[in-house]
Amino acid sequence: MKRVAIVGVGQTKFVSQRRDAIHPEVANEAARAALDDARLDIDQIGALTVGVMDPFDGVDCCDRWFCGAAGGYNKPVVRINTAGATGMSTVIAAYEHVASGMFEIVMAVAEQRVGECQDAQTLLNTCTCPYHERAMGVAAISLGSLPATRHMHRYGSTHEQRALAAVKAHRHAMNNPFAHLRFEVTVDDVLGSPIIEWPLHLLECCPRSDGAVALVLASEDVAKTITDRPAWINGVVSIADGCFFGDRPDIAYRDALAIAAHRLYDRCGIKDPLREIDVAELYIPFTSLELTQTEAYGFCPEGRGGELLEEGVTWMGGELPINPSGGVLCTNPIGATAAVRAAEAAIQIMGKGGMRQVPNAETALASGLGGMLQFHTIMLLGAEPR
Amino acid sequence: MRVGIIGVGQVRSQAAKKDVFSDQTTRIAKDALRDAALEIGDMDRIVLGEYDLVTGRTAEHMYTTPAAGGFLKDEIRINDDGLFAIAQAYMGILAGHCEIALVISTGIASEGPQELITNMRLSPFHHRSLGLHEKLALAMQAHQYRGRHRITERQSAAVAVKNRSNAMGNPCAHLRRKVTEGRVLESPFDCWPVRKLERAPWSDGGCALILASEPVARRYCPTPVWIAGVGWSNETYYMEDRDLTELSAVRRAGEMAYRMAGIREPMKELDVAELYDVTTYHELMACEALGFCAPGGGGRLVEEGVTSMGGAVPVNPSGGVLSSNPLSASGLARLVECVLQLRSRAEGRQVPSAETGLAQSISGYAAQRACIVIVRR
Repeated sequence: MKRVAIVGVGQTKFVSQRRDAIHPEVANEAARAALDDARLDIDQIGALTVGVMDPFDGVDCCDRWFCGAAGGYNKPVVRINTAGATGMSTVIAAYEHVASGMFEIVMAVAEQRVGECQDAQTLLNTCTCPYHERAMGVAAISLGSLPATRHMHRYGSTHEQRALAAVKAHRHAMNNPFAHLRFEVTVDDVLGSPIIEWPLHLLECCPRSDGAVALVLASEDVAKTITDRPAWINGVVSIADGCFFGDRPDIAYRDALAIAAHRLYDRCGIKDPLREIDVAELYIPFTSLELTQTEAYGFCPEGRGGELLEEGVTWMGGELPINPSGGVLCTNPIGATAAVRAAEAAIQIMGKGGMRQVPNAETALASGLGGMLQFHTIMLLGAEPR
Repeated sequence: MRVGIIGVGQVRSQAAKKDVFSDQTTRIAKDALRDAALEIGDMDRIVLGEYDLVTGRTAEHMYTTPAAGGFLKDEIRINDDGLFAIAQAYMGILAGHCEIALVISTGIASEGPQELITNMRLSPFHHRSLGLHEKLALAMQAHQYRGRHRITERQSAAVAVKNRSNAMGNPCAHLRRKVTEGRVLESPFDCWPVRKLERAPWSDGGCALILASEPVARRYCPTPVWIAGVGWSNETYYMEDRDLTELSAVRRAGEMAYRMAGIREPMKELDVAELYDVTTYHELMACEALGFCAPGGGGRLVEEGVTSMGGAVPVNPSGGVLSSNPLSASGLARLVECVLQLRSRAEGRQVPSAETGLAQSISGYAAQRACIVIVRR
């Protein structure tokens, strides 16, 4: 069993639609950037894991097309798809490649081109049960809107509190050259934008983005020879909930994420997450989930996620900045989004964040979210191996 | 540390299942747990191997994960043939990520137009408008292969006769009717030059295996089957850039697995092989890529009965993919059969005293990818 670190990260600038490049070219861009970052050659990569969610790209099993350009030609390649959590599962799969001792250096590449599909929500509607849910039009936005109303009802949170999550994300994204949406918004802008699915406004919802991200993972034997400051993967947890929304005890709080977070903290010996974690890159595609997730992670008491935002705790300069990159609310290449979280968390540990760098980040949390709040994948990175 | 297989489960393949697809997942998982005399609570992790879209939806694992018993468990899904999920589960156990994992594939081909779906897997610029689909590409490959090596129709038919005859002994096989050489060669062309009886059917079915770390495997099972070698590889997507007469991804995956298992002379060291005979020609090509014979020697190998029951290395005692093709699970089913053979549980089709078995799968256009798993008693 080997300890594993992230030693290189590369991503494309995320946009609505890449009209200038085909899928293999986009994947190649991210893979090259990651190899350059690690100062490695593709021949030094032993295997690849590739992640993409079907079929936003307009090509089913699109990985087969792009993985050669990402460096997978004549190499062992495993293709991962766990819906929205795909990106993080792809990094976890790569982590296992290295931790098992089977490979020294492995690259995880995740790509998604949501710009290639006409209507992502119609497509996401097909993931729901054809007998019970599909005809109601349930799609990804419902996993933001239903917890929003539930949270308001149960804890008295407000539209203004939720809007702050969008204001924060957009302010942070200004510091991230790779972010898709880069403009500042105010609470009034957010609440004045059209309702997409009540109570969520347009600016409370993630965009749909085109792009790719790649991470190079190396074993403890070689990590230090590649970079002075690798981001050590100190804990990995994945959890699956049931598939029906109506079966959850309470979608505003008691979901599987809280259990997963406790499993991670137990494994890593974290007692006071708010103090011990320096920065977090969380999969928050809708503002309401900023409230429910910060509570599930134990950054604040149950029902107090809104206050956490108001007090500035999770803003840049706060006790625990969440999503210095601007997060999913500003960039969402669906199957790659969770890998971007891992990449951004690694960037923070490696001290390569530039304008978005959190000073002295020693411990970072990253997460992925898939299905209708069904799959949670979380990862703890550190400047030192645990 | 070694990783052992301590349970297998499968359902009978059929033309079209009668229940909701996730119910089938539950039946498969229960069968594997019953085989291992374990409960779902004993599992640390669910590793799925399945494609999306084949049942007309995205994120199919939203249903199959809970149906496989994944509630509040660690989960990952390999969007490829199920045998690749074995590679991931194997590494997950070696990595200490989990101790015991259920690897499961639900194969449903009846719910979607597979030709159209596989056509959608092609790049929109160069290949899709040609009207290609995976079956057609396999036929093109078969055509090139048989032309290059002068494989005869009778040699191809011999594979179908052998595998369909083997399937008679397998209660989980979909097509359980013997065929003669005459019937094979009279059957209509499906995609020229591959005839209907020379290619796999579409089936609904599925299978599962339970993998455990050595200490856990020994605690639960007196005679685990051990994973001795795993190998997988990926060729270029572009078929026109490859020599289609050789399954190069299979060759590379085989080299990796042989190296790990310390196998130098496969024909001497393997007792049974389950190969991905999606067409008769692909069994012959796989035999060559795996070093059972020299390139081009596959035809003679089957003619001489080397791969028949009673031969040096019986290939596809289960009846192979030619007899059951539950898409997604077709490769994983190869490993299930190897495990049954090594445990002497393959009643009606048992290879005597099988100690070492090899399972092979391919995926993608004209075998872009391949995965090999070698197991030992």
